[in-house]
Amino acid sequence: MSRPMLARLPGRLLARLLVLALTLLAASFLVFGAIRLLPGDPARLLAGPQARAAAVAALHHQLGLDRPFLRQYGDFLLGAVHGRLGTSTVSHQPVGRELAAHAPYTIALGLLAYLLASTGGVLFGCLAAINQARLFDRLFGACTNLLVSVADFWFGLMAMELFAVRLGWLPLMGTGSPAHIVLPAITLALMPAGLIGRMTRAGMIDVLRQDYIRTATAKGLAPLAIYGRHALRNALVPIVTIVGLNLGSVIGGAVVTETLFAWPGLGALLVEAVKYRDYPVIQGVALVAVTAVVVMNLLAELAIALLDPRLRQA
Amino acid sequence: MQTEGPRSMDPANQSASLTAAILAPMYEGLVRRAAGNSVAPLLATSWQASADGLDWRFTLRPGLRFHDQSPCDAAAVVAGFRRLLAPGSPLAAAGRFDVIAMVEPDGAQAVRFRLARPYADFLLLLATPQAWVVSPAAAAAGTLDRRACGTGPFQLAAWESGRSVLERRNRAYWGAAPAMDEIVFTWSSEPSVLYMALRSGETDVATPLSPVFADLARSDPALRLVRQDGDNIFWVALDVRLPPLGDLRVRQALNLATDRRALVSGLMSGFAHPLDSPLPASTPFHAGFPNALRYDPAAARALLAAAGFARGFDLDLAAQQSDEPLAEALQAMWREVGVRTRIHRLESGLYAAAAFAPPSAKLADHVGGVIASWASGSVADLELSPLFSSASAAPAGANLGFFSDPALDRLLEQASLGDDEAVRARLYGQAQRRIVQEAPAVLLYAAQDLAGLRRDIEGVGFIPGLGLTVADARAGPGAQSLVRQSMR
Repeated sequence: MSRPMLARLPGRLLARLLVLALTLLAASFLVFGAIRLLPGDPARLLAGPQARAAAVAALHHQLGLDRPFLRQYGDFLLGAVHGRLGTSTVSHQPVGRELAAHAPYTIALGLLAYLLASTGGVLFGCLAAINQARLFDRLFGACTNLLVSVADFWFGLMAMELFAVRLGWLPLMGTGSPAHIVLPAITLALMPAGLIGRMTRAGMIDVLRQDYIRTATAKGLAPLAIYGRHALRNALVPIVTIVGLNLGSVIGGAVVTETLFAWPGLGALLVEAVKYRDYPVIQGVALVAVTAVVVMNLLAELAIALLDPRLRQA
Repeated sequence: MQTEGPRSMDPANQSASLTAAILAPMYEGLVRRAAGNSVAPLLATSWQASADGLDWRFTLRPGLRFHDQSPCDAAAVVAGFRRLLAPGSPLAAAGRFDVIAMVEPDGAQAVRFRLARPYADFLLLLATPQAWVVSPAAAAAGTLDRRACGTGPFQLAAWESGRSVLERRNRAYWGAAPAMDEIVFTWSSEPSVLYMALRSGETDVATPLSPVFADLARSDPALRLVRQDGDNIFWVALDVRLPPLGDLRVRQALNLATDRRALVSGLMSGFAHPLDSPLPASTPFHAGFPNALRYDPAAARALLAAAGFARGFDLDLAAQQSDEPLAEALQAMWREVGVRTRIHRLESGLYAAAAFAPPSAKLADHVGGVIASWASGSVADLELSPLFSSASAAPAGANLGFFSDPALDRLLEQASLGDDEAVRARLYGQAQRRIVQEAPAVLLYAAQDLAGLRRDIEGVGFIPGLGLTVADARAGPGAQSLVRQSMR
């Protein structure tokens, strides 16, 4: 890392953190307002269809939903600053505790899925680029098309039927052992693996046409050195951006995968919360998601700076 | 495994049958539901009612204790009911017990109720989950929503939200000890996952099984299908204030244009019964009118023509996502008689808002029909009053089409008072006839309760008005291990 970059780092980080705080503030207002614009009264959903109107009205009051919007938002902000995000209206637990209980599952699932997707995608993408227009490349194209276009819901169901029900190799759903994460992680990894694979292939083909690769080949460098040091490093820049952006959104909730496999992460929590209009939990998950996206963007930017010296000066 | 998790651990603060199923092993009421319309002793060993039916005295079983070891005595029972009766109570079941004018202890072991009016179904009301007895200490501490505390054979060990509920045997239980040491409840909203969990042995019991999978479970040698003619009815509430649905002939025509048998065989794989009355045939006091609710598209067309709609009309129909196939089937049937149906497919929160909207909002949205379902606990009054009486017009109750008929209101009121079974049967018969004739709804079918079981589990069955009960589960002769102590 060059000296000017190091000198400017604290200032840039400070600016980034300020942007993070402002983003969070704006996002909290948007989320807070948007979920209150949704039709559907939390009190009615909580009390159930058989509850009488008086009980629904009393619950409405107890939840503080009859107060002016700005007052509700002010109280929420004040609480959030002090680390209090309210209490879930369904599980009756503090939202902070709910987030803390569910976040590790999503983080573990997201990281494992993206580790699988990046390794697989980059490896096969490179091989496809090197073998451009040969059989391997054509198979690769067909597979990635499938991965990108078929719903993960379908993949998940098929994997469950095959590996859990018919073969009995892996647990069907839920948690309890390391084996439980395998099916959901693979399901979640498939789509990004296809995407990363295709981007790697395109990037590599682009780079392999460059003059400096021809120079490297001409001066007799080993193929591994050409592909690894010269080509892949340049092709990786857009891939890291994509992984960074997507990983942030996974932390916000791998909604479909988690719901399907009863994986108790933030995505499953969010689905339940939206179903019952559990405002405090929706707000909590949304704030975590926004934070994750902003932080991951920041990390991706730093990683790209490490890969591409030109960007360190910018 | 079920299709949804618990919404609360407080039986009085929920009205979902799948929540009640999770709470059932942990709580008990004064009385419990027995066959037909009768009740049996549970926490109360005996009871007497005054001649006018207004005063009731229940004698409690001695020596009862809650899971927190506090005594379950008269004061505790009274405190539980007073929570529900307190003005402005935010409990979901508040208002359901407003027939009770007063409740007080009579010594340490007896409880007295005074009713505001005679109410023939009072004992059945006390057998509903919302009337289960809770620890007053836990209620006062405000922890009941999160931590169950009753007198039942099982007690809460852990509720991990979004994952599972673990219940362990209550070693201090007053009655016969259950065979299982542990019950684990899990849930998935995806019907196919529920069935896969059953087949892979991940769960021993899966409910409610959707009809397609119930059909498959029936032919799987490793599984057993348990079913009961349930109280879960489906109907289309018609907004009687919205033209042209204000015209009786139009409403009758929609009923005649509906092929209930086709719905039952096509959508429900036969696991339902076509309705011939607003009450399902399994509910006491049911009276059927199959001729009025027959499938007769020619008669439907004639009625529409007489009403001036020979060329049909446009109808907007609101349905939850899960009822979309039903909505589409109705759309196709009604098209045959010229009715052009537009389906509003709504997410559950949007649906609840649309279904319970007041008349002005329904008029503005032009929603004429709402597909709805209801489980009454197999008590006639708990279905007919909330669905069809004037006082229950939305948003106050579930009379979603604002039907108002003073004659019906009087019949329902009178039928709920008396305790002469023959008189009540006659009054409820007249009430059902009136509803069928006035057609405030297109009555569809009563779905069966369905559960899939692993072959080696026994003692699991349905109780009318409560749903599946698992507290008495035991390992059957085909069990893989001799003593199974845990089920999920």
